[in-house]
Amino acid sequence: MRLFNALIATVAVILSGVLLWDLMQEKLAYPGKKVIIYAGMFGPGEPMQLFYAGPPANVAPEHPFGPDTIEYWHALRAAWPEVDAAVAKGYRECFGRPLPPPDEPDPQLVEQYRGLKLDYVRRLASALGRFDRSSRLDLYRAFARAHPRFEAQMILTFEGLHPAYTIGAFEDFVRLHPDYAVVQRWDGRWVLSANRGRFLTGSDVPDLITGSQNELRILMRENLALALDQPLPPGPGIKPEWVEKGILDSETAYDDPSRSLRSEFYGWVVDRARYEISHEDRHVSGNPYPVGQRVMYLLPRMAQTSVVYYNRVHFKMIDRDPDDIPETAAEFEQICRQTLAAGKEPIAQDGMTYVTDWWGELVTRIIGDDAYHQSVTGGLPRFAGPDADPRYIEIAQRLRRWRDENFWMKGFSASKWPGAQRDFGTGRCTFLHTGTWLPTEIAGTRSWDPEVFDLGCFFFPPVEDGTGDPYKMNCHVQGYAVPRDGDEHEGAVLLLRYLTSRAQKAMVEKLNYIPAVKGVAFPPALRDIESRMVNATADDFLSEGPQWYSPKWFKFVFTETANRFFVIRSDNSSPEEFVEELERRSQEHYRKIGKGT
Amino acid sequence: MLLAPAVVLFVTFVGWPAIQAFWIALHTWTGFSPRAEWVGLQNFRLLFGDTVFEQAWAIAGVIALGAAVGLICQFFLPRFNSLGLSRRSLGRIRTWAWMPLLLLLAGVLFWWLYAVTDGDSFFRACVKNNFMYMVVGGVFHFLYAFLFAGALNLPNLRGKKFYRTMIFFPSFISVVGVAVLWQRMYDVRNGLLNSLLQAISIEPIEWLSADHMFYAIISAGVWAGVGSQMILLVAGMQRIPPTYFEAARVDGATERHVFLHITLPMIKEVIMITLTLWVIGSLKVFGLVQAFAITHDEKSSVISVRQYELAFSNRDNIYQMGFATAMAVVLLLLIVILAMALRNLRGRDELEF
Repeated sequence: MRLFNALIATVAVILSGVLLWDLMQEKLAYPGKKVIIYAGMFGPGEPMQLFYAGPPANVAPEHPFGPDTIEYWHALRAAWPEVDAAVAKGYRECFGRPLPPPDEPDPQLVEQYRGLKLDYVRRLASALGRFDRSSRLDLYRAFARAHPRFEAQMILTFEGLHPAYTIGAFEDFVRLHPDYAVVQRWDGRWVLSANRGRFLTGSDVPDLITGSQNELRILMRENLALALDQPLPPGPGIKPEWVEKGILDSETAYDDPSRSLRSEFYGWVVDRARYEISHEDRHVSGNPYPVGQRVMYLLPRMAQTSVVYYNRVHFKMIDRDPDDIPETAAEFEQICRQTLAAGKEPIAQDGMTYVTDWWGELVTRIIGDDAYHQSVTGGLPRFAGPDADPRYIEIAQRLRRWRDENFWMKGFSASKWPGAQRDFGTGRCTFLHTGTWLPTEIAGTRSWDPEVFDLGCFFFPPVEDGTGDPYKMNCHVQGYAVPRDGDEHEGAVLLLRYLTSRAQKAMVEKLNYIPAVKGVAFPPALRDIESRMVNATADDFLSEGPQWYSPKWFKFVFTETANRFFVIRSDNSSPEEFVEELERRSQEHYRKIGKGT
Repeated sequence: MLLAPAVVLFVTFVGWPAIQAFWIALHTWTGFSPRAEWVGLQNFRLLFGDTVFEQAWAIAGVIALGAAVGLICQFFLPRFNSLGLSRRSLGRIRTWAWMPLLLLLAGVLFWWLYAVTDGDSFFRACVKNNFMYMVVGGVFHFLYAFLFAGALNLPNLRGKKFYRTMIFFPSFISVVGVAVLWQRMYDVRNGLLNSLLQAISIEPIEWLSADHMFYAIISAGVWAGVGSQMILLVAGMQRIPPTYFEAARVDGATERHVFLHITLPMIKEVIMITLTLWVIGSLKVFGLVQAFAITHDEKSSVISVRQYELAFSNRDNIYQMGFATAMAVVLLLLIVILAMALRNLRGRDELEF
């Protein structure tokens, strides 16, 4: 019995200790510091593409300076002759050929390199040509220790790894603000689910959480995030200025106190980052803002839109000017036929992944976003029946024709992500429809041989006789939300301001994403859509789409009906059956779950 | 008293959450805030369809009838043996007491799976897929496990440890690793399998198309899981005293006869335990299926994956914790019923040796 009691006591002590440590670990680990908890989607470990797809032929190896920045190599040699041999060796390991003879190195760059300490330079030189990603972070940290007064922008000149950027940014922030510590939680794509228990209990809630506007929408629906552009109700951790004017208008830009934080962002991005308060938000979730008001809960970091990517090499192959993008859908179809005849596969496609986007594009151009919204939410026109718009069936027939003409790559029905990206990036397919994250995603797996793959992009063109929205674009914003139950609102907002700083602009630039903040160069790979995006107004964009205004309809009705239509399978439905099934299931959905859900 | 810590932990971390699941299934709830709306049986109505609820009394009556038969055979007949049945007959009746109930439940399930047309058709497809996984996967698992175990039990086989390790090795790999590995093997354009087929001038097969993917997953599952079953069977076989085999061989029994008439009956207990574990595992299968593709259609999804999608996936932005928990409750009941059925089949006569 004594043994039993001792056992019970030991287990109780251990469990209490673990619980106490879990509750206190941030306070114990960072004594005397204000702790900001950051919950991020991506972190060390991505990208997965290389793991899944493997490096294809003709890919330049990964290296710190990027594929077309020979001047960095030469500047480093010129500044530090001591590491000349190591730099030349690193280049050979990266590219499999000797470092070309130097042009005149950029004197400013040489001067910057001369400002480094020799210890670090030696370490940098020895890391050149290495493939292991974790060494980058070590390198970053070594740099930060050796050069505490350098700002992150300088560091970014040397480093080329996504997670190291992000982690490096926090290290830079903490160095500049020694009162704070940043606890990073890399929760992956399911960052919300990973933190759901914390939101539910209100304990250990992150002070900042990242994601897209659409993914973080649940926090807005449940009134779990702080509004950024509205006066806030007084409460713990809420500064008086925020109560008066809101965060976005009372805080200043990090680099320049004469500018407001709001002025850092493109107007259209701010608009896209707004969330419309619903009746349920106001009267059930207790949201303090009136129904219909568009409130910004997300500080935007970058924007994403959907485009049709194309391989410019294939345009040349069919004797077409690579800059001559199709002006109409018919022209797009014609190019598909030409590339098919030239022995290439027109559209890279992974089964059902994004295949329904083609339906969305055609519906938008032919019928229009507003009419589709009406159809989805139970209004007129309908998909089938006496009140149907016959163009829905025509769109389905058109897409079936594409499939029958083999526009989609061979075996697409059985292809899984990232098969389509791999086959597009290695020159097997001409087009790929996806979001603007693609250039970054395929950077490690695409071919860098200009004779094989040369990336271009365009918005899906207007459709002849279409009465919809011929030129509208979709756009989704990614950024940071401030959870209401976080303990360190002031620190979170300071970190948000820092994340719009000059150094962070450079980070977004390096990542090749469409920037939300002004003063960041547009990604070179997306230069074809730059002018339309940068000069856009709120009217140039489509609504967020049924996935977001009617998520249950999208999941239970559209996707499950589309499963039998788009890919090749034994129980395929015909275009007529597809729209009839869509209508039948929609009616059932409205009856059981409700319209607009 | 000595069981108290285990009981406390079990009740806290298993029992209470299971009871709570029944409660959550009666609500719509996102799981992000404590606010949940009571909807009664609505989630189950959406799952099973209006037809099932319209026939609820008939279904309850059928189940009650089966339960009554079970109770009479199990408890009343042996105590008040007015029919004058022999002890042996009574034993048999008790063994099969619950079989009518199980058959009636199976009948109701089949009626819902194949005759009812309303309700959540995707969920119905998931249940069918789970049974498919259980039956098809089970047949191949046990076939290979018996073959390997039987071979490893042969007295003259050399290199037993090597073969055992090789066959068991895939069981060490995480299911996500297995999924990624086989996804690469099955890749329609660059996969190993199709490369081999092309090398011998056979057209590539779309292994991961909607029609084939579930079978591809089952095959990968068999590859990864057969080692575990084999080890259990080998352990059971090695417990049998060698004198039985020696005596049989002296009497002129062939290896086939030894296996069928000595080995199999003497490892019946192990087989039933392995079978029970397989049934429970196959109904709960999640990781392998989930890791095989970003999204699943109704031809390749299973209950746990569907549950996960609806409860946790921010890709869909739905967060239907109550609805998904209703599925979990159904899954729990399915597992309990099947586990009971298997327990019934095991009988009570344990072989001592």
